[in-house]
Formats: sequence, structure tokens, C-alpha cells
Amino acid sequence: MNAIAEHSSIQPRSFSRTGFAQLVRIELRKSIDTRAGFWLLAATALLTILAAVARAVSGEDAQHAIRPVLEAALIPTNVLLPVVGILLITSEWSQRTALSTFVQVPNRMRVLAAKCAAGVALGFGFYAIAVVMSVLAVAAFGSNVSDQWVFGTELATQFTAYVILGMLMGLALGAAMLASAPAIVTYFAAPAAVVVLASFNALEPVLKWIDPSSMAQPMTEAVMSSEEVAQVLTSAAVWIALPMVIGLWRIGRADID
Amino acid sequence: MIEFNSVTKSFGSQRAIDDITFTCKPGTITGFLGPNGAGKSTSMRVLCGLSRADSGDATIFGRGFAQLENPGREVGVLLDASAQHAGRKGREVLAITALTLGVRPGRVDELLELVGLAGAAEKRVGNYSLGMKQRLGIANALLGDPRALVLDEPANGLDPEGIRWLRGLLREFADAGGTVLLSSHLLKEIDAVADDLVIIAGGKVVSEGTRDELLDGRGTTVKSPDPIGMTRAFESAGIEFRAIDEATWIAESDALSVSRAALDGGVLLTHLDEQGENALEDLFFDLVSDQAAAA
Repeated sequence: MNAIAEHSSIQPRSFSRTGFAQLVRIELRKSIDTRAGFWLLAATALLTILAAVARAVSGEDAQHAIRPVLEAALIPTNVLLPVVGILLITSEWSQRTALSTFVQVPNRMRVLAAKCAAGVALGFGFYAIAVVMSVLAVAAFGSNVSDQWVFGTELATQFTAYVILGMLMGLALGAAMLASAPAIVTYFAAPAAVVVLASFNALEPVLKWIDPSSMAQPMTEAVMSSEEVAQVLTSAAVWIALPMVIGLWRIGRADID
Repeated sequence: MIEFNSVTKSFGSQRAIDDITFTCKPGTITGFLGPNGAGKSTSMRVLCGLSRADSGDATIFGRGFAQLENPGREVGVLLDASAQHAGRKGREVLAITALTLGVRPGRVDELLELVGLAGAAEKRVGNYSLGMKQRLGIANALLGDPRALVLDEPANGLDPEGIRWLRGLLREFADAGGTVLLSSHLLKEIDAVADDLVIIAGGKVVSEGTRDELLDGRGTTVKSPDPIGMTRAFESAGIEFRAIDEATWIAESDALSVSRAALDGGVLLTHLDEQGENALEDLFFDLVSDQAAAA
């Protein structure tokens, strides 16, 4: 028999569904097997290393401790990795691969869940790279300041949330918009837009509850106050939960073309 | 076995397909024929679960597409060869499918060889010609070793050699018991390969049946170098006819009667065919223009 038909093709056959872990592995592979994806991830890794070393060797001595070095090392991950998350979803539409993806896995919600899991896994992966690089950089170049290795569980939780929330915001915007350019522009322009609007004094008290930057800088600066934690949660509702719900609704009912 | 049962689908107020019903049987190639915009692609998207029907349903081996545990192992689908990531290598496209379907990795190389892309496997799809994308898409559809194929305009962009290759491949697939649904707006391509025909126009099935059923009885194509003598021979034998050009006619009779009329009239024939080269085209335009007139 040849490659066309290895079987006698009338008998009923039964097959098992592709496992979820396998779908996640496939999405991870799809995030790196295109030219754009490969360079985006390579650039993020390279910049992470550079950022950790640069912070550890330059500036004031107080900056050469683990918290500020890791803070610097995670900036590339926080800025660039969500774009990978956006593209994981939107490239299925912009490159029209949804046409074959959803024919192979008809349950669209499983595909979307696998993409989110792959994005979060990438977040943890780059977090690990940043931690290893920061520890090495502080050990090699850091000065002997008193809080050189001070890093409590609160900070560890905040740093983790900082990476994962950024990734989730990318995934959610990608799902809501199903187009790469608007999702990427929104991801980068939203914090600036809130800053501009906040210059109207009347709006300022409201805006700080929906400011996506509350999910960024305050999380890596110091242990947050409970009000700051509440602002993270409300901003996450606006910039992650809401667009994700819109995305689930759109992807679930879309005619794929 | 592929079945459409009264499938209707609208986009807004536009009815794309209207009460589509037909069956593709194992061991046969069903040609799905219609002008652009007739509803072929919409029907295939509904079949593959990419569009939801307003009413009716379409099944593969008795089950809806979403009910298939691992659809790529049951039905190979190629809906649009251009819908691939331009930045991904040809081999990688197949490798991803192999991982999703759970087939052994060695099949990727076998299929690349089969479709003639082994030499271009490391090129990015963005650098492929449309014909190469079709070949990749066909490999992708066959990768799961399915027993049905759903192909939307797979001959687009293939060169004549490629079209002949595809025809042979589909014939072999069907002869091994496979079910093939093949759409095209290229009449000649469908005519050469289909066992059954489903003709669609304006979102409705306007004709279906075996190729022979549909084309038989549509007259005999006759060619002769002697127009005056041939016309006289038709008239004296009482055979209805109409001229296609100055040396070609469609006679409303079978080949034997036409041949006898020509012999009686002492006229030379150069061509005599009950399913003439124009028969499908003739049928197609008759049906499509009827549909347009009715709309």
C-alpha cells in the first residue's frame, strides 16, 4: 500500500481526542516556528539578559540588589511577551490558519484555552530566565548593600502576577479584537490614553481604578498597599476579564473564513 | 459518506445556501459544481463546523463534524490553500498537523514525497506558488489517512501536469473506498474526474445525479465537413438539431440514428459523441441561467 491509503477505508474506526497537554505543546511550538515568533522570543530573551547585567553594573549601589535587578530584567518580558500572546490568537485570523486549526480541533474553546495556557507557560518560562539571570548578575556584579538578597513572598507573588497579568492582557485583547494591529496598538496605547485622560482632574479618581499601569510599575516597586491591590484587580477586570469575555463570545460564534 | 440534509445558511439578510440536500457515497468522487458565489464554499464550511447552519445539518459518516473525536483522521479537508502562515516552513505545517492528529512523524516525509514537495519542504510557505500551496494543502488533508476528502477548488493554480496528477490521486483514493467531495468552477476538471455531480446555483441544488444520468439524453454532438448535406440528412431523417458552429451540431437523438442518417444522406462525419465535450457545459449553463431567470 502507498501513502495515500494505508487502510481499507470502509470499516468503522475509532480515534481518541487530542489531549489538552498536547494542544498546549502544539501552541507553544506555533509561537516559535514562524519567523516573527522566533525573533520576538529571541529578542525578549536577549534583552532580559542585557537588562539584568546593565542594572547590576551601572547606576547607584542601592540598585544592585535582587529586587531592582529582577525588576529591570522583567521589563522586556512585560513589554514584548504579551505581543507573543496577542499573535498566538490573532495570527490564526490574520494568517487565516483558523481555517485548518478549527477543522483539526473543532472545539474552539479548547484551542483558546490551550493558547492561554501556552501564553502563561511562556510567561513562567521567561520569568525563570529573568530570575536566573538576575541572581547571576547580582552575585557577579552586585555591591554588598544591606538588602542585596531581600525578596519576600509578597514581592515574589507580585512579580509573578506582574508577568502573568501582562500576558493575560495580551491574550484577552487578541481574543477580543481578532486582529494583530489593533490589539498591539491597544496594548501599548491604553496606559498612555489613561494618563492623558487623567489630566482632566474630574476623571482622575475614577481612572486610577481602570489604569492598566496599575498592573505594572507598582507591582515591582515595593510591597503594595491593599488599595493598590484593589486597583490591580479592578484594572484586570477591565483589561483582562472584559475583553476575554468579548473574545470568547466572538470566537464561539464566528463564521471562520 | 457525506450527507447534507436541508442545510440553510444566511449572512444577514443574504441567503447564502438554501435547503441544500445531497449525499456523497463511498467509492465515488462527487463533483460540486457552480459559478462563483453559488454557495459551494459556504456549504463546505458548514460541513466542517466552521459556519453554523441556520437549519438542517451536514454529517460525515453519520456524525456532525464536532462529534468526530479526531476529525483529521476521518476526513481530510482543504478549504483554501492560501490560508497558511506565510512565515512557517512547508514541513512545519505538516509537522503541526501530525502532532495534532497523533500520526507517526514519518508520514510527514511520505506525504511531502507524494505531493512532490520534498525539495521545497524547508522553504517558507510565503515563498510558495499557489500550485505548491495546493500540493501542501492536499498533503495536509491526506496526512491523517482519512477515508473522506473535502476539497474546495484544489485544482486552482495547479499546472496541467499537476491537474492530471491530482485527478489520478483522487481516482485512486475513491477506488480504495474513499469518499470525495470536490468543488470547482472549472467544468472540464470536474467532467474529467467526477462520478456524481451536484450542480448548485444561487444557493440551491439545481441538479444532481451520476454524471451519466445527467449527461445522457442531452443530445449527440455531431461534426461534419459538409454543413449543407448534414442539415439535409437531419431533416430527411426527422432528427431535431441545433447548430453550435458551422460544422458542429447537437442532435436530439442517439449516435446510431445520427450515423444512419449520415449514411443515408451520403455525408461524412468527423465526430459523433452522445456525451459530447459540450454536454456538461451545456447542462451547466442551462441550469444556471434557469436559476438566474427564476431569481
